[in-house]
Amino acid sequence: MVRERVKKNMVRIGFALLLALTLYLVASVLRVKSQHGINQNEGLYWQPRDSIDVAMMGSSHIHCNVNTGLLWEKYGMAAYDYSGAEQPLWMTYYYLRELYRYQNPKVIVLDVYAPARFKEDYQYRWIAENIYGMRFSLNKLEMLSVSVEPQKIPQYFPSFAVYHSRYDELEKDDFESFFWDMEKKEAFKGYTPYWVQNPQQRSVVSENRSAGLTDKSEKYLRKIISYAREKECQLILIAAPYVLTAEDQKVYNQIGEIAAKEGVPFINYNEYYDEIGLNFTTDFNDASHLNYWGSCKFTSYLGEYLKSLSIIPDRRGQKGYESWDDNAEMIREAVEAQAGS
Amino acid sequence: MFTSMVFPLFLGAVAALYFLLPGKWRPALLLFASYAFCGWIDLRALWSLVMISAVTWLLGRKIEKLRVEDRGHNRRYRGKIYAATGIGIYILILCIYKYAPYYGENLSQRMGLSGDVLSDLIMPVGLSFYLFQAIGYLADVCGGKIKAEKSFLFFSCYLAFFPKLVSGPIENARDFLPQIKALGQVTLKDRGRLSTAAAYMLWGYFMKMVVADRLAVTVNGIFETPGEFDSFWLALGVILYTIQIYCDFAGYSYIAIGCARVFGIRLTENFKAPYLASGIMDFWRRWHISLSGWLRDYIYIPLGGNRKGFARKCANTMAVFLVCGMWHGAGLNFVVWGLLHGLYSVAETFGKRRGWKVRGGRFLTFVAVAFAWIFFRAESLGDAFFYVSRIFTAGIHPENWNQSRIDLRLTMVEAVLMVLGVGVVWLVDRFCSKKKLHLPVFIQEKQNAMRYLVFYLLLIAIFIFGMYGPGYHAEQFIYMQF
Repeated sequence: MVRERVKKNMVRIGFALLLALTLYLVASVLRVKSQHGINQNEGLYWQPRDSIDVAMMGSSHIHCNVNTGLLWEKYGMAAYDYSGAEQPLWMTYYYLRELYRYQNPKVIVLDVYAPARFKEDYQYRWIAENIYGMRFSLNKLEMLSVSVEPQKIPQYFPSFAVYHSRYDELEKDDFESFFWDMEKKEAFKGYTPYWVQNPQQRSVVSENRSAGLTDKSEKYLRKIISYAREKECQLILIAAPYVLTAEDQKVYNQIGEIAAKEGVPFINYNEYYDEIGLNFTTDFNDASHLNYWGSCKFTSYLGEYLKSLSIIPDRRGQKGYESWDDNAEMIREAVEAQAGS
Repeated sequence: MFTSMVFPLFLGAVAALYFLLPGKWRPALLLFASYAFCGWIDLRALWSLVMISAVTWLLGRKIEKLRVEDRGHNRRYRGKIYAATGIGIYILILCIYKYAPYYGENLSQRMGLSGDVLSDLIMPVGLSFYLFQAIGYLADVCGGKIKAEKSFLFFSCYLAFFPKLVSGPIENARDFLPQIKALGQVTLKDRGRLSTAAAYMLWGYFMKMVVADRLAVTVNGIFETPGEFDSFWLALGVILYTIQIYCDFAGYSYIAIGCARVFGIRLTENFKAPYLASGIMDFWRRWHISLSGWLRDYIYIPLGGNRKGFARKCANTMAVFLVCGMWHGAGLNFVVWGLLHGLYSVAETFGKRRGWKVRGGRFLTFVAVAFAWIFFRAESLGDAFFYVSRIFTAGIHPENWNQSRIDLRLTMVEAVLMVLGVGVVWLVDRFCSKKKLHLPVFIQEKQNAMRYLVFYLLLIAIFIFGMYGPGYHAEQFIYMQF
């Protein structure tokens, strides 16, 4: 009798495990992959615990412009581009909380292009890129409650309901997210450069007024600042180089004032085009993003500043940081592939 | 309602309370849960349900009282008047709710009413089903077939019970009330009851979400613009709809039966592989069994059934199917659908009487039923006739087939899934029909591993291939050339 019962339970447990395993594999394949934010978000979970020393956060101005491989090879900085397309500050706040569940960075670099350019309280154009990479958690639910109007939530949650029907549009990279792909997944640090050269008009803006930061953005900027303070992390606000407008500059001025009051550095790299050495003919992919060559120049300049803070250790050669070597290698291969084509 | 994401949570919560709370609280819990379920869908519908329940319960007791009194005094049975009045009012209510929105706009304009007062009269959820059950109950009490239920709690459970509230099965009080009174005896670890319940639900969800809802996409595309498709696609549309409506309705019924089983209540089976029927009478013994049973008991037999000669039998049959058609919908197309089935039945009766033998009865029945479904699916009688005429006049144009396929957004993957899904349902129906058991009961007899394998496969199929969720459209994000 007892043998029977044990056998029955074994069968039950066996099938429960089989179901869980199947759903894990199926979800890995069907889950949405995209380099505009989803991959960056999801990539965090593959990183070795407490290994990231500097996290770069914000919009696509981060993951297109900040070359993690260069930061590693030149300065030994273990950096990660933890950003998403047009990511509003309220989502960045929850990203920050998510980051601290797995990592303990010493420095956070936050690009503030998104609050400068986008003024709606609910922004849906690229929101998918900032949702589907995150694991299910209370944190994610809170993020959704703040970022999506209640009647629209079923369009984005649960994620499985959204992406389960992708079975007829699968690509090669859909089959590369299993736990046995760990090494390859670890090597991705969020950086996804553009390879096109589109000449741009150098922006000439002289704007002294400060205004235009929405209440919602300001609220979350302050929450981010105090969260970083609570975690004893050095927060640095930046505006990466692009073709900016006077309206953008107004917001940067306002953010600069808030930052100054809070004792947080704010660097508008649009004031340093020449120091960075940016060439508006060869270094831009479009009005909003640098290309690979532009990103190397910008990252180098940013890296010098970060080095001068003397907070971020040089991890080259240290055990547990091999994935950054792999990252640099991955980028090098991509550069060669581009040169070849 | 069953396919909303909240429903499993709701069911789980009610089931948990059901087994945690003392047995004698169970009817009250189920009633509360059913009212919550109804109210969550629509508060107006809840009000309507409670009103009808109260009125029917009171009427039932009054009729019973009169029955006892008048029997004793050998007087004319006054109970009949009450029953007839009640039933008459319910029929009137049904007619108003069915026809008002349909003719509402025209009538409003003619009567000079501003706004669409009449067309706003949306039928409260489940009304058609519980009114029929109420009518049956009153008729049975009047005829002495059942004692009037003394407890309002038990009676309202009968009408409101949430698994069958929205789309039936139409339960008979004689079957249902005794079960409600015996709920205290249901135990959690009853010989595989929960496992059977789960199997019913999973199979129902598979039929509905994987097969029916998938077919619906293509069917809707064809029926929306029949003028753009050739005879092949139009015929295909009919066949697909024939399968869709079966999988949709039978699936829903299986889910209802499974839900009820969780609580230890057995609902009547509603479908028995209807498209394997050998004739039209056989079809109606396999399709929406609870409805055809109700029509037989409360319309056909009271009218005389087949006891008053052949001509009268045919007339009664036509009457039953006329009511059947009208019950399903307001438009003339539903009436035609019903009458078609009436004609089929009369023809079959006639043929049987003459001793005619027909070969390929199954196929013929399928074709006849499929043809009639055109009238059921079309938006109006005119649309139905247009569809039918186009099947015969559009001709077959293979050169356009690929474009049609693209217009219907029918990818090869979806087509394969459709075929596979339908194939699975057909095979299971044939197999279980031979064994004279429904799938959930059949696998209950088998070893655990076999049963769990079926659960596993169904779950995976539903999770991946079920038609739910908003879908992810990469194209939305490709447009930006950043």
